Amino acid sequence: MEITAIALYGLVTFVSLLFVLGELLQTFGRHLSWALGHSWWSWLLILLNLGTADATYCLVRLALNVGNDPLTAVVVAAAYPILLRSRFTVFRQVGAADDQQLTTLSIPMDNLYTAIQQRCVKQVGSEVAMRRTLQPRQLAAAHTEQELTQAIKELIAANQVPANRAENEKYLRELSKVADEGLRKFRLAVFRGDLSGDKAASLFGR
Amino acid sequence: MKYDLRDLAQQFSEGDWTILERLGERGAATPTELAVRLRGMTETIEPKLKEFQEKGLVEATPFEGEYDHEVFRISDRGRKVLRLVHAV
Repeated sequence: MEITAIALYGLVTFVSLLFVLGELLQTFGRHLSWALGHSWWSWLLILLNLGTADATYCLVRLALNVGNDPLTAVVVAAAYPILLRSRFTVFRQVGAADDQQLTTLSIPMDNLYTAIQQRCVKQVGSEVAMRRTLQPRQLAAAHTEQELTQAIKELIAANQVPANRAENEKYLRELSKVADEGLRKFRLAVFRGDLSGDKAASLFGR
Repeated sequence: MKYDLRDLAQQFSEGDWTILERLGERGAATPTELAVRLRGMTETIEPKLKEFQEKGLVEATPFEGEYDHEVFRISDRGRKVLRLVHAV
């Protein structure tokens, strides 16, 4: 069966897609699908990877005249990430350190790629933090202050460390002194979430 | 306004750096979340975050919340200063 050029481009695209999704999965974990739905930077990363992989494969096919050789497609699919994540130094004074100042001229692909990744992480991190504020608001709306306080007291009592219990009891007393009722309930709800160990809260710590 | 990183590292107290550290661990957070995490009051934490923001150590994204109106996150500059603080 003859392998067509389209199938080989498809192979390169598929492998590069797996690669970039792997990177995003490692960054966002179970929030990956949410990140894809809320951050166009993540789509830019995907398109950049797919575009670079296919463009590289196209150039290699033209330059080496390899035709529909599957091995070339596999090699390009495995090697293209280096293009996006490396610094290509095109000029360096003899003996100079790689300091990118006057003695070195380079194409910092790694910096550009990292900048896009950081943009993506920042955007998703901020969106997640905004979304997190909904949980205590819903909690405060659904429960009375007495119920929230009782739930907090139970969580505090469940803590095995006496020093932590004392600190949390003191903090509960301080929160209970907040004058505005709505604000007080909101903060109690945030405190309850913190005590119950909201896993999402520690995500994207970078 | 530009500040030298070493000067910045000496401008804040240990407690102030704890705020920045917790923000760094959390990635991004509202003042209330951060205050609760640190068992402090939002009224104390928020001005400090603003001060950090003025010095380029944190970045803020506004949003329409009922009680919080900005999400803060540590900047690259903030991380560099924290590394300097830890090195001292």
